[in-house]
Amino acid sequence: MSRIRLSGLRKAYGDTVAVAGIDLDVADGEFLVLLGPSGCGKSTLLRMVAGLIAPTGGRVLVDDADVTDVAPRDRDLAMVFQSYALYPHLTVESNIGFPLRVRGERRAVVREKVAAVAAELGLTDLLRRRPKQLSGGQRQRVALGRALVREPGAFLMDEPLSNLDAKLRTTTRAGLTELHRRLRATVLYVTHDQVEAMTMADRVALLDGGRLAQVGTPAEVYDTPASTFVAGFLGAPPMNLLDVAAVVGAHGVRASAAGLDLALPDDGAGQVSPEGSRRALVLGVRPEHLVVRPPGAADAPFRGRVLAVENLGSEELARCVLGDADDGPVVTVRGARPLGLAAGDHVGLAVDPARVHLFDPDSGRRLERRPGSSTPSSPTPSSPTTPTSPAVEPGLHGDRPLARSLP
Amino acid sequence: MTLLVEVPAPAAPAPPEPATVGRRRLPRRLRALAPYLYLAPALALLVVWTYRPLLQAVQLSTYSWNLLPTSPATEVGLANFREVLSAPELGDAVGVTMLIIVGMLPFTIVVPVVVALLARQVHGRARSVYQALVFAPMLVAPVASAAVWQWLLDPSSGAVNRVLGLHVNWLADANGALVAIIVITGWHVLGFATLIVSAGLTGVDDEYAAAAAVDGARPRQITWRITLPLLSPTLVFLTLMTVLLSAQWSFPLIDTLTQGGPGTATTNIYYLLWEYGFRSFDAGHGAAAGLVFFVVFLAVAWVLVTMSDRLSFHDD
Repeated sequence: MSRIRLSGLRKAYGDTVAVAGIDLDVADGEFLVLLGPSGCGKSTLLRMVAGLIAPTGGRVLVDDADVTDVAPRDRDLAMVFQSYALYPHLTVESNIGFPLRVRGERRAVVREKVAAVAAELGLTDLLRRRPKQLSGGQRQRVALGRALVREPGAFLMDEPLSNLDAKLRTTTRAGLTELHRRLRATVLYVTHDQVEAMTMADRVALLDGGRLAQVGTPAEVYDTPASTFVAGFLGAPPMNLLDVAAVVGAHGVRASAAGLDLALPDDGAGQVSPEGSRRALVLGVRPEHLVVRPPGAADAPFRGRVLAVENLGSEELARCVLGDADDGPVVTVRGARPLGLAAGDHVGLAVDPARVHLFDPDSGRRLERRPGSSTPSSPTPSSPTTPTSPAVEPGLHGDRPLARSLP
Repeated sequence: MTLLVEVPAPAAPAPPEPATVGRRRLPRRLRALAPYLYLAPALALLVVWTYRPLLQAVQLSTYSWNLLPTSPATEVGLANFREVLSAPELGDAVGVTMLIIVGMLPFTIVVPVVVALLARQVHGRARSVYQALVFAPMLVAPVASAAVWQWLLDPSSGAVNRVLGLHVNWLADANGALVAIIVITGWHVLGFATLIVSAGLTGVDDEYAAAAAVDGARPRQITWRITLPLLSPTLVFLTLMTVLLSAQWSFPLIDTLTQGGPGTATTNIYYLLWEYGFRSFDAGHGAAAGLVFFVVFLAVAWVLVTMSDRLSFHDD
């Protein structure tokens, strides 16, 4: 199996930049998922790796060979298309055997290999059929078989499950994961479905507007999102993001907004920063980390009113507007059913301070405390081309950088 | 002991009463009629201009009549058919028609496919200009182009002979006249056929070619193994058009350039039919010949349409 490296890969159509310089290293045997919303450039990126789109700049390396200008057929990569692209005029057998036949493999060898792959994917009884006589799931397996039969260096998959119904998608997902483990195959997998990313990936690369927003294991990208984009993309519903003002007071730093007064974890901030100085922050809390408390409870820094409650079966979602005004910030709470809330109820919400995420409002990047230092900073960027916020930013008041004094 | 009671399935709701208040509803029978009323104008035109003349032709084919309103039509039964089918000139005309059809195929299939495939390599405005150039002959009236071609084919000073370095009297030579008719007709329909092939190519999803490229196919293999098979419905359609319509397409050129000659070298079936009707003024023979051609072409069309159905691949 092969390793795929992208360096500074770029694609622009006129003035429109589809992919804005991506550096990515897919290790041998790794399952890497390119995740992002529609139009983030993930399919374009995959097609550049496949050789179907010529990049505007940058290089694609398979193992150590530069294949940027190499024809698709010579890249030793197999691709599964979103539409499956099964040749409608060929039988299942000819479809799976196509990559071997065009390479001039002998008929007997082709038949043998196709039979082996078909047996593995449970397609043996369908070999004589044509694509239009197959169900969605069967077509998907034929597309996979056509990729497998060549024993390629790596697999490129472009939303291969998006045309399946929900139930079939779940079982196929498990099947693909199992296949990956058995073959130890390198897989570059494009999807907009975060569940696929979280469940299948060794690492997830989140793309936003043609740039890498974060690369990490599913746990990393979920637990420590590197930007408000990642925080707002992952999770269903995604992380609550609130514009707050951080104020340095006599008793440490407090984040405040309408209906919110939260003490941020304090490591002596008040001692290095002048009292009363403020800066704007974006505060993030996952819906499942908010705990319902009685209204006015002393340990509930959030205070608001329930707008609506949604029943998910095992869990409930409550949308709450914070503060007294009707147009205040809205947060979603997620918890085991019943939450004990109804629309119109006044409610208090508590959160473990360790579960609170902070982001810079301008750059959107994550702000983090560095262990053993009182200097917060953005986390190490996941890619050299990723825009990073300056680690230290001036406060809104006072000439001392306030960020330095925050947690 | 606990009493267990089965939960009943939800009762099927009664279908809602149709709203009748405030609006008179058309009787059911009248509503069923609506689609036919929409079709009526087109149907009326078809009946007046196609089916009625067809029936009249059937009727006419059993009479002997010289088209003069003053002279009587004599009923002759199937004699017209016997005479038409046993006429030696019919065999010649069928032969000429088949030669024209075969000669037209390169112009309606081979060249358009090559041109359309090459045109895909051209991008932007150049492509439109290119397509317009190929399509232009279609817009030239056949009679007008015939005049120009007559001049180009002139045996002593014509451009064709000068370019080819030949001294052929094209329109007076049996083979030369047939070749000229085929080439000029082909030149006329080439743009139309190219347009059809281009449209067919647009209908072939690029994903197949992309998949084949990743699968390891070379451009030539993609064309032969993927693109052309997927284009086959279009190609069958063009074959159908060529077989059914070549005789009609060539008719105005035959009439203006050769009048079916020299001898009967360029008399195709429609020109023969026309000669029966409007040279010999024998309406019965003309109608009988027309019906025979109609039935034969109907059978050919049926075979080709069946073939085309079998060859079309719906990519869904």
